[in-house]
Amino acid sequence: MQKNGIIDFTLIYNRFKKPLFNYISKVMKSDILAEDLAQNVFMKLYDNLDRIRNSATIEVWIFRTARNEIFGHFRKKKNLVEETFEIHEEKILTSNLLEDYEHKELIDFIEAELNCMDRGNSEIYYLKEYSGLSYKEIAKIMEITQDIVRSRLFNVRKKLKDAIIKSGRS
Amino acid sequence: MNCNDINLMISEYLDNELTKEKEVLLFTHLSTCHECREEFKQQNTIQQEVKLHQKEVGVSFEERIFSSIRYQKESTTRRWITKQAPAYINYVLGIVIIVITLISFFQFRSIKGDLNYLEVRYENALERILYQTHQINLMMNNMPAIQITTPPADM
Repeated sequence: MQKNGIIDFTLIYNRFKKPLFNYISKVMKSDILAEDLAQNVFMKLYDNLDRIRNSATIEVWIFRTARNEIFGHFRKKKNLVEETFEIHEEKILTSNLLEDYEHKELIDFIEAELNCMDRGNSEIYYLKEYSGLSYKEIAKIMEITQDIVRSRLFNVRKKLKDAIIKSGRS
Repeated sequence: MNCNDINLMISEYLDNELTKEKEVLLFTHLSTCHECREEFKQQNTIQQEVKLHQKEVGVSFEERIFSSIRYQKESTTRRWITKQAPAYINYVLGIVIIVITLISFFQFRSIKGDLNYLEVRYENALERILYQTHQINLMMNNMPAIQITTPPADM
């Protein structure tokens, strides 16, 4: 790849590294896995940069590829015991944060709520909030209708708000 | 416009999916309805929290990616054909090969033609020589024999 290819890649990488990593991390519930899968996405991006030149579609390409990586990972999941141990370890670390109820931050509470939700709902919520993709683009990636996207997001927001009200936070 | 519809519009607004006309309706309603205003504030706060609290990517993660890229780049420059040839090169090469083949074919045919022609000439020449030799033989055979007599010994 020519020199300006590296520059283009670096620009795109810098733009998407945070939302991509965070999205995968929330869906996989693991930073370790998120790094692996995000790395795969960026390597594929680098290999295919010449073909994905149209910048309007890079966002869609990145998150669609991310979802493919996620599904691919679930299909390949062989050693379940090893996997769940890693994730369990991470959960212990994060739940320590929640133990100190007095200092529990709103964000921790929100994330705990989303963690409890059905993955299909939390995934679409994080995808929307992190990627900034439109209903239309999300519908295309997930192969569902825009109405479904709209209503799922609405439901997640409602559940979050109700949970927070119930816990008595301002 | 009931408050349930407004709640959906709030959600759409936060998703940047609300049309300008509906936005006007929304804010008009919000200006008069306290409950919906509270709803809007709460939902907005939740969204801000989620969007702001994104983790930074690890340094080791970045290092892994860029060292993989550098490794890939180095291994491609070590390859003999470094540049990816544009597709039309294949067509040009194909045409060149076809042209060379055709030229060779025609050259071959003309050389063959020349050889045939020379072969015919050779055979004709050979025939003539044979014929002449035959004639000479005939002549020699038909000529009266020359007797060589020895002169009388009395001289």
